Amino acid sequence: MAITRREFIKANAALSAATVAGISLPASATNLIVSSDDTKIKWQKAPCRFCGTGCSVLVGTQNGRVVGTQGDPEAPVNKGLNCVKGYFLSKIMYGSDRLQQPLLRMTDGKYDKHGEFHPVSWDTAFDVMADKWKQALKAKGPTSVGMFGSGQWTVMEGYAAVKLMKAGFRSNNIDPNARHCMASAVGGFMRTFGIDEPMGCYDDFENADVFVLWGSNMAEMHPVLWTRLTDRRLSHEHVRVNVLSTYHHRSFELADNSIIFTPQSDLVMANFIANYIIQNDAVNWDFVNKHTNFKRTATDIGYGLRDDHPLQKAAANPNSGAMSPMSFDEYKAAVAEYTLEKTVEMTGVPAERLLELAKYYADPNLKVMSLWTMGMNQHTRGVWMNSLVYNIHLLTGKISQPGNGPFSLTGQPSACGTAREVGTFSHRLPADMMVANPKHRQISEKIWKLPEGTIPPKPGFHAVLQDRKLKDGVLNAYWVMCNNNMQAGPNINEERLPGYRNPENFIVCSDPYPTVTAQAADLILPTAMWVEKEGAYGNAERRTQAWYQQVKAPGEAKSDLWQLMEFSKRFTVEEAWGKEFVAQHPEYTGKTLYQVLFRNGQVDKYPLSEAQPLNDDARDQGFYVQKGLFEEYATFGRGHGHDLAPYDVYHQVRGLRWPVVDGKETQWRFAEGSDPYVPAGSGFRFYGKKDGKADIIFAPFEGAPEVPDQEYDMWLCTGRVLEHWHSGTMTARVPELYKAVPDALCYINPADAKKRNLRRGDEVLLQSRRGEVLCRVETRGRNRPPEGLVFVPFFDARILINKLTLDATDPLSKQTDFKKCAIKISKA
Amino acid sequence: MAFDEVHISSVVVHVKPQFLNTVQQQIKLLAGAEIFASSEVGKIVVVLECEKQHQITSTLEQINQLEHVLNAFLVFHQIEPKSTILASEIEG
Repeated sequence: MAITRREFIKANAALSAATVAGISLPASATNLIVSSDDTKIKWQKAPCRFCGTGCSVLVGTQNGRVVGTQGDPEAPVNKGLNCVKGYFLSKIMYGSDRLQQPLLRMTDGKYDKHGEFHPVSWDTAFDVMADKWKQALKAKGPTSVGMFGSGQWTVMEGYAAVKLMKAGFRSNNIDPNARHCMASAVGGFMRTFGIDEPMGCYDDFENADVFVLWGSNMAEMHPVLWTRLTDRRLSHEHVRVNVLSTYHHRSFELADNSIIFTPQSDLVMANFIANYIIQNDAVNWDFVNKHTNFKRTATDIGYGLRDDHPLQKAAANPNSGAMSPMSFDEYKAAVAEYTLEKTVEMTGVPAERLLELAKYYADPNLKVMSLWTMGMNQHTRGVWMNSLVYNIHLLTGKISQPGNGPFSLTGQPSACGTAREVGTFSHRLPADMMVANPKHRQISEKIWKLPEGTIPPKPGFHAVLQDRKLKDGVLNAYWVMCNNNMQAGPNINEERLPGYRNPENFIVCSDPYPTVTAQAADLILPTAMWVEKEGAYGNAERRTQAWYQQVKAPGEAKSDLWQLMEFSKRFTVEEAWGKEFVAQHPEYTGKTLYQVLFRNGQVDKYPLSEAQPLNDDARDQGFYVQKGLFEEYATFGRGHGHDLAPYDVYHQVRGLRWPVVDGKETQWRFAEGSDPYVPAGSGFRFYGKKDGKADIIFAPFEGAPEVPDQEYDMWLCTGRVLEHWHSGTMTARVPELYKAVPDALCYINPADAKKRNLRRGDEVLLQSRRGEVLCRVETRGRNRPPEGLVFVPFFDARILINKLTLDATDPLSKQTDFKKCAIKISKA
Repeated sequence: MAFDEVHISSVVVHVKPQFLNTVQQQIKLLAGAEIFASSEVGKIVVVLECEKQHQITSTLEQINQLEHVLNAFLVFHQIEPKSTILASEIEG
């Protein structure tokens, strides 16, 4: 049978799709597949560069360039699937404006904050930069230097950065952009369970009977996981999907129970469900008695604004996370206030939908998976809200079992692996340890072979505080790496931009592209990305995945790891620590930070010969730097519930979920039989807490800091779209993705548009008390807000919606609420 | 992008099962779309042939926007010079 090449390729395409969809093709089609196409492309695995799902992709390289990517059929996460962003991954490195040389603001050949960007050598770049750091350290000490990093750093980069900042510069002013993303989730985990990250895993998707999305548009933001969820719903008639949001989005297409609620009233809904469970005698007493304690949290805690803000001054217990024990009866009385009637009134949700949702949780025969992302985390009561959902799962004992459990999704490829597990937050150290805890500092100093007292005890400046301290001239030497915070952070006009341009400050931005952040900086460092270096990421289900370098970076672009290590060579311990501190430890005299931090017999333990032939970072340092950093880092968690496998194993497998003990990964933590840390006979053990019990924490409804009024009469909710990843730095440079969604639109209800005499496509002026942008309105399409609310995505560098947002944060997690502020809209 | 290329890609579409036929009829009307298989649980395998790569994303978005479509995602993509495809057709 003669077949044309066109038919052959089409049959091949159809077979791939049918295989991942789990359906069979007619025999006539499969017969066409006779041999695989002869190709000279080399395929190697790597985790995707975008969201926290952690899909494995096969990366095809040819002649030193990435020419194609495909979903990895052997990957348990995505089983051969790819979303549209992952599909075009091969193009993110080849934007025409890729940075290839350091650029410094100069006038007449010298650094000048008001000058234009000119190319300089790496030596000049680091000379100027080190000089600024040394000036700041000398004048004001370690708190005047800082770094803003990322959940997109590799595990090793984040680890090197935290070590350089906390031990090298003795400054805790390092925070990741993950602060904007899942700090509230971390806060919730730590308060309820005493240990970070989800107990369940993606296998829950194939085992749950009911799904509840508490503020997550998975269809667009986690499309591959959404496919697993959709598959479950379509192939099992009894499965039900509940979607909760403040506006209608694509995930509602699959919803059996659609719930559009008034912003902030999710706090009411969660307490109502707890109340319903108690009133209807659905408490799992055996579980509650054995495995939980009841607590109440301090209330009226403010909004994480500047201390002199009227709302902060008005709060009775600003920033307080204090908790006190309560009895079950007291808890019962506290949630009793959240009746169906009151909940209908406060949420705007019809009673029958609230009851349907509550019944799913209360029914002991249904396995429920709760999922959430930014809707719940970017919330001024995000930590409370996370715990309120845990309360429901703990009251019913629906946790740590296949298909039963709360699952916090993450937005970045290594928000878990790097930001959380490595501890690149201003208050943290590796493996869930805290700088404020003397024992934790001691453990870290011992592993790092550093003098006692090297790590400062006071938490450093978190994301939003860094902006404020830059503006106030307190933080003066600042390095932004691996993120685009000028665009992505809140309240650009009032806090961050004045901070970057403050003449007292020197701002460095490392990025592959000239982002809004890079353009607001004083020095831009060109950065190698993704498979231009070796690295490892950790995804939302605790899965650690590693990859090898596959191509060389263009021009003089260098990895973040190389930049951190090279910069550390420019400081002696005297310059970094001060002569007094070194005098107490004379053995360090005259050494550089590089020698002390990275040539300590541990990081440099593995020879270059163990590394792949193509590994520029290892070659530049003369040893297998990624392995050395990973192994030193892994010693923090081994034997303490955070066990990682030996580094080399991660290059052989499609990732492993920690704790990995005796070569075995853990699917459900805290459950006997699955988690090696749970003793036989105990059933469950929440070992993050000393008594092995999780806390059911009561927290009430408290309002949002800024609500619509007569003048600013609309809620503004910001967020993402499927085609672009966060601020669009990479995806806007993929022509297909850019053309698919070129501009941010203001999604508005047709009734609100009509009231303002607006038609679809009209340009409007959006104004808040802090700033304004021009934007076009969309009354149809994928997002359909209710009256009184608009949705505007933040990917578009020309429509900087974060000029409008308020820098109010959860007072406990310090994560900004990007989902709620008040604006007005008029025809432009 | 040059016109001497042919982009062949495949898409899996999830639909509400009761509307499987309706959606299939609508997909067939899209330029370059061919249905290779479907399943009554609500899945359709579509193969797209386009001359420009951005047509893949725009067709995918069109499918996503169809009523009763839950989800559509790309699986496979191959770029072929038009010349080889035409040549093989002459030989074949």
